[in-house]
Amino acid sequence: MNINIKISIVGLLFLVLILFSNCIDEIKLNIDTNQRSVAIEGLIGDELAAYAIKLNFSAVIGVGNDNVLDPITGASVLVLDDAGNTFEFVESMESPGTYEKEMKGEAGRAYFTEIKLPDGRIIKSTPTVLLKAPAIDSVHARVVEEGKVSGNGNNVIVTSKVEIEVSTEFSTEEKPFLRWRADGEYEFLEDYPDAISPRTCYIKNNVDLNKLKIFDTRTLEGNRISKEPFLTTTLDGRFAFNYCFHIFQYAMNEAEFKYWDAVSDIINIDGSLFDPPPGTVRGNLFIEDNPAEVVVGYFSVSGVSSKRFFANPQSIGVLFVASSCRRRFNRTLPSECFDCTTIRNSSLIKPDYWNP
Amino acid sequence: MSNKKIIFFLISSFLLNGLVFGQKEAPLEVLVFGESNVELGKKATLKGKVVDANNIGITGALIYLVDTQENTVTDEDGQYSLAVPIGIYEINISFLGYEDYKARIHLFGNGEHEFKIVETAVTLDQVTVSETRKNENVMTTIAGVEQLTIEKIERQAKFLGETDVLRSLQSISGVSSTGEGSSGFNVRGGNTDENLIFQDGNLIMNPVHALGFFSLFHPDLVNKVTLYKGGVPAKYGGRLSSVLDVELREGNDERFGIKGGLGIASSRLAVEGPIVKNKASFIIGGRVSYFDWILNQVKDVDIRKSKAFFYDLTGKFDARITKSTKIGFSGFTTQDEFQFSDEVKFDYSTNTGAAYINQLIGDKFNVRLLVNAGQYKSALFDISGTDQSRFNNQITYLRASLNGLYQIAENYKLEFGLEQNRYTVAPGEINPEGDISQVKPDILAEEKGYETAFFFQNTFNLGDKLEVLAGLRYTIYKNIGQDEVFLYTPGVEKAEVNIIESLQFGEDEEIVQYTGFEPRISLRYLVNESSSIKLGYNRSYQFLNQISNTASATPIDIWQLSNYHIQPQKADNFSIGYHANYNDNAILTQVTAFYRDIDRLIDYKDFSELLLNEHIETELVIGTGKAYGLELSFNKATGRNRFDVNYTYSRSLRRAEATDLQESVNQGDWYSSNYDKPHILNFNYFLQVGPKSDLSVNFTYSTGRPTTAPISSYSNGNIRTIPIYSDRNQFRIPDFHRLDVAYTIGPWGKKANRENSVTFSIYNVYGRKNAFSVFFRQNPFQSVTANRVAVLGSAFPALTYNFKF
Repeated sequence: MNINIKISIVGLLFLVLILFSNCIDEIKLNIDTNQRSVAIEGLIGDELAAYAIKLNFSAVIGVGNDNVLDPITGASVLVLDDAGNTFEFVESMESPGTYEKEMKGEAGRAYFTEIKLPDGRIIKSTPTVLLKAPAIDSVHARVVEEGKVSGNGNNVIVTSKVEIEVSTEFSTEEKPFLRWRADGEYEFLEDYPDAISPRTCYIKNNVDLNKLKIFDTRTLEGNRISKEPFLTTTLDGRFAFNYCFHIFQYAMNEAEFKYWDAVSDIINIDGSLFDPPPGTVRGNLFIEDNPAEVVVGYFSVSGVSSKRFFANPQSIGVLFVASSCRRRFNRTLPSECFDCTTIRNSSLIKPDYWNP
Repeated sequence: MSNKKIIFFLISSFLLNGLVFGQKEAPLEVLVFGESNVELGKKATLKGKVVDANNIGITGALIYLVDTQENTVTDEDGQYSLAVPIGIYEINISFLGYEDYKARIHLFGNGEHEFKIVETAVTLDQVTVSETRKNENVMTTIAGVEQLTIEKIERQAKFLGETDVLRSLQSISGVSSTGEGSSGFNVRGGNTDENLIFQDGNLIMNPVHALGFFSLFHPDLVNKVTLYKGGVPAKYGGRLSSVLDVELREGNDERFGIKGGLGIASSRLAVEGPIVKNKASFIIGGRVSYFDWILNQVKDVDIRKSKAFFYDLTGKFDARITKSTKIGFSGFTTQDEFQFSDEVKFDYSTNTGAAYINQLIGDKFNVRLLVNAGQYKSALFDISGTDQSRFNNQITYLRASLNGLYQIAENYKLEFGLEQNRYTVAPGEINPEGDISQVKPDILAEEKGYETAFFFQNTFNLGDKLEVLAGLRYTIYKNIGQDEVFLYTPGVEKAEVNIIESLQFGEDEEIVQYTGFEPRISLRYLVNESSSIKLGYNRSYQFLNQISNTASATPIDIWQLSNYHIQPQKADNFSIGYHANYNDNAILTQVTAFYRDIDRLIDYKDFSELLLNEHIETELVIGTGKAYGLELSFNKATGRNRFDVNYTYSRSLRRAEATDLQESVNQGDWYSSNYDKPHILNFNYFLQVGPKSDLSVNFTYSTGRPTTAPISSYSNGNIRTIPIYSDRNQFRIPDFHRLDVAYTIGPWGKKANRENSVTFSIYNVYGRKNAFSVFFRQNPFQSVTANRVAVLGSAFPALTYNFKF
C-alpha cells in the first residue's frame, strides 16, 4: 500500500488573506480626453413650490477643478404640459445656470421641458405623466452600532449611528416606483461660560448626500414598505437637542426608475467581482437635431409626499447626547459655541415648521 | 525548516549533482518475429499493444523505427499496427511521462507484441529523457492542440504549493484569464463559456473552486489534459473557442493505494485499488476545505462573519469484461460556499456522472457508447434587511454519444458517431428568506433544448508528406416548450413596451429549430522529418451561452439556451502553423497564426438587467466578433535546464449594433472585448539542480485588459458626482506581470518505499499589485481618483512537505 501525504503548512493560511484581504490603492490612469456633455437637473412636482432646472456642462475629469460644473447661462427654459400651458423658467441672479419658476403640477397631466441653449441647440425631454405619490405612513429613528476595524487592524471601533426607518403604504393595483430623499436641519444652542443671552441657530444639513434609495414596489410582497432602513448618520452633537428629518417620497414612472437604478449601479461600483460594466446613463433628455448625442441628467416629473420627523435624545432612546459645546477641563470651546452663525448653512430664524 | 537547513540542502544538492552524472547505456533487447528465410522487400506487420506497469493500454504512445523514421501512434486502447518492409530495426517507444523503451527487432514476418513501458522515476534519468515523443508536435495533424501530462503540470511553480491544471494551461500561448480571481479561462480571445470542458466524458459547466483560485480537477487523479485551441475534431461541438478534455487515470487493478494531502485549511485523499484483480479497478478522490476556524481567529469583524468552504468527490470505475469489452463509470460532486460579512453570499455545486462501454470488434473497429447526466446549480443570497432572499439558477443535462473508429487501411482511419444532448435550464427563482423579508417570490419558466449531432471524420495520408484530417458535423438544435414567447413590433428595438403579442407553446412542443453543417479540416505537410506546416479550419455553433455582463465570469452566471429570439452563435476558426524541432528534439518551436470570425455574438446593453428577466432578449444586443493573432513558442525540452517561452499577440474585438443607435454599444463601432490582451508572454524554467532537487520559475506578462473609465461627471439631486463613462472598454487597466518560484528538495530517505520531499514556493515573488479591476471614486471637493483592486497584492510563500510510505 502506498500512502503519499502532502502537508501544506503555510499555503492555505494565505488563502484567507487572498479571499478576504484584497488591497485597494490609488493609481494613475492615462485618460486623455476633453469630452463634455450637457448636464440637466430638473424637477417639478404636484406641490406649489419654486422649482429649478439647472443647466451645466459636465466637469471633465483631470482637467482643472474636476469637481466643479460649468454653468450654462443665457438659455431659454420652458416647461409645457399636454393642456397647452407653458411655464417659463427664469435664470437666477444668484446662481448662474439655474432657472426657476414657482408652479404646481397636476397629477395625471403630462409635462416636458424645452430648452434652447445659447448655441442654438434645442433640448427636449420626453413627455411624462405626473403620478400621485402615496403618503408616508410613519418615520422612526433608532440608535444602531457599527463596528469598524481600526487603522492598525488591532481594534474594532464601535460607532453609534442614528438609523431612520420609513414605512409607507401603496396601492396594490398600480404599484408605484418610489424614490426617497431627506433634508436635515438641527438646532444648535450657543453655550459658553457666562453666556448672557445664548442664541439658537437652525442649521441645514445634507444628511442624505450621495445616498440613493429607490423601490420597484412590483417586486415587493403586499402593499406596504414597513420600517425600511433609509439612512444612517453618526450620533453626535447634532442630536443634542432636536434634529428635523424632512423625508420626501417621489412617485415616478418606470423610465425614471431605470435612470436612478443605473445611477445607483455606477456610483456603487467598487471594483468587485460582481460589478456590472459601467456605461453612460441616459435620461429622458435629447437634442432635437441629434438624438445620438448624449445629454445627461433627468427632467423629473414626480408627485411628492413628505413627512417631518424630529429626533432628539428622548425619541431615539438615549439619555443624552453631548453637544459640541460641552465644557471639559483644559478644552477650548469651538468658535460656534460663541457665535452659531459661523456654522455653514445656519440661520437664526426659527422655521415655521419647527414644532418638535 | 530553518534558513540554515535550506541552504545546507541547496549546497548538498549541488554537490551531489556533480557526482552522479554520466550513465552507461544498457544493451538493447532483441525481439525476433517470423522466420529469417524470407524474401526481402516484402512487408510485414507488427501489431500489439503498449501498456503501462499496470497493463493498462496507453493512448497516444509513439512507436518509432529509428532507422527508417516510420512511426505510428497507439489508439485509445493502446493498440498499434505498423507495416514496414522486412528487416532489422531499432524500435523506440515513447510517451510523455514514461521512460523511452528501446529494442532491436528482427522483423521477418507478421508479429504481435505487447510493449510495457514504465513511468519516469524522479531520478537523474529524468533529465535525459525527452519530454515529448520524438517530433510529436511536428507529426500530429491538428494545428492548435496542446497536451499536458500531470508530470509536466507538477513541474510548474505552484500556487501556494498546489498543483493546478487550469493555472498550467494559462501558461500556454493563446490561453489567458481576465485576472486572478476570475472563473474559467479564455482561449484565443474567446469568452469563458466558449470552452467545451470534459472530465472523463462528464460535461463541466464551471471548472473552478474558490472564485477560480483552484480548479475542480483533482491533481492526484488527473492523467492527461488535452486542449484544442483550433482544428477541433468533428466529434466535439457546441462551443466556439476550444475543447478541454481532462482524462483521469484508471485505478490500479493490482494493488491498493492511498494518496492524500493534509493541510491546516483543507485536505485531500485518493484511494485506488482492484475490484477484480487485473480486470476491474476503482479510484476515488476527494478534497475538503475548512477555512472557517481560521476566519474566526481574525480580528476584522467582517472576516469573522465570513465563510469559505468547498469540497469535491471524484470517482472512477473501470472493468474489462472480456478481452475486447470494457465498461466504466466516472463522476464527481462538488460544492462551494462563499460569504463575505453580511454583504454577499453565494454557493454553487456540480453533480455529474458518465458511464461508458467500449467494444472492440475484430482488430480494426472500436465502438464507444457514453451516457452522461449532470447538474450545475448556483445561488446568490441577499443576507440582510428586508431584501433578504435567495436567488437560484441551475442547468441539468443528459447526454449520450456513440462513437465508432474504424481503421480501414494502414493510412486511412474513419471516425463517426452521433450525439444527443438535452438541456433543461431553470434561469431564475427568487424566494424571501428570514422573517422580515419583503421580497416577493418569483420564478421564470424552465427552458429546454435538444442538441443532436452527427459526425464523421477521415484521417488519411496523401503521399508521404501530407496527412489530412477531414470531417463534417451536422447539428440540429430544437428549443422546446413549455414556454411563452413574446413578439415585438418589427423594425424597432426589442423592449417590453414594443410587445405586440405572445405565443404559447405546450410541453415538448417545438418552438424553434436551428440546423447547421460544421466542416472540420486539418492538413499537415511534412517539410522534413523535423518540421511541418499545418492548416486548420473548423466551424462551430454554440447553443448554450452564459449570460453575464460582469468583466469576469462569476460562478453565478446564468446559462441561456438559444431560443426564438437568441439564435445560436457561429464561429469560423482558421489557423496556420509552422512547427520545427532542432537538435534531435531538444528544441521545439512553433509559430501559429489564427483568425476567428463570430456571428450572432451575444452582447449587452448598458445596465442590462439579467436576473429574473422574462424578456431577457430586450437586454441583449446581437453583434459580431473577430479574434486574430500570432502565437510563438520556443521550448527546450531536454536536459537539466528546460524552458518554455510562449508569446501571443492577439486581438479580440466585437461590434454590437442595435436597431436603435442609442442601444448600440459604442455607436455600433468595433471595440475591444473584455479579453482583449494584445501581448501575452509566459516563461517557464525548470532546472534539475541535482538528483534530489529541482528549481522551477514562472514569469507571466500580459497587456492590461480593457476597461471603461469615467471621463467627466455631473450632479443630480443629492447625488453630487455621477460619472459619465467613456465608450465601453476604451481604456486599459495596468499591465499584468508576476514571477513565481519553487524549489524542491527530495525525494530522500528512499527506503522500504518511504520518500520525503520539501517544496518551498513563492507566488508573486516581487509582490506586484496586479489590478483585478480599476474603479473610480470622488470624495466631496476632491478630484476623481482611479483605484486599483489587487486580489494578490504581495508575495505568498508556501512550504509543502511530502512523504510517502
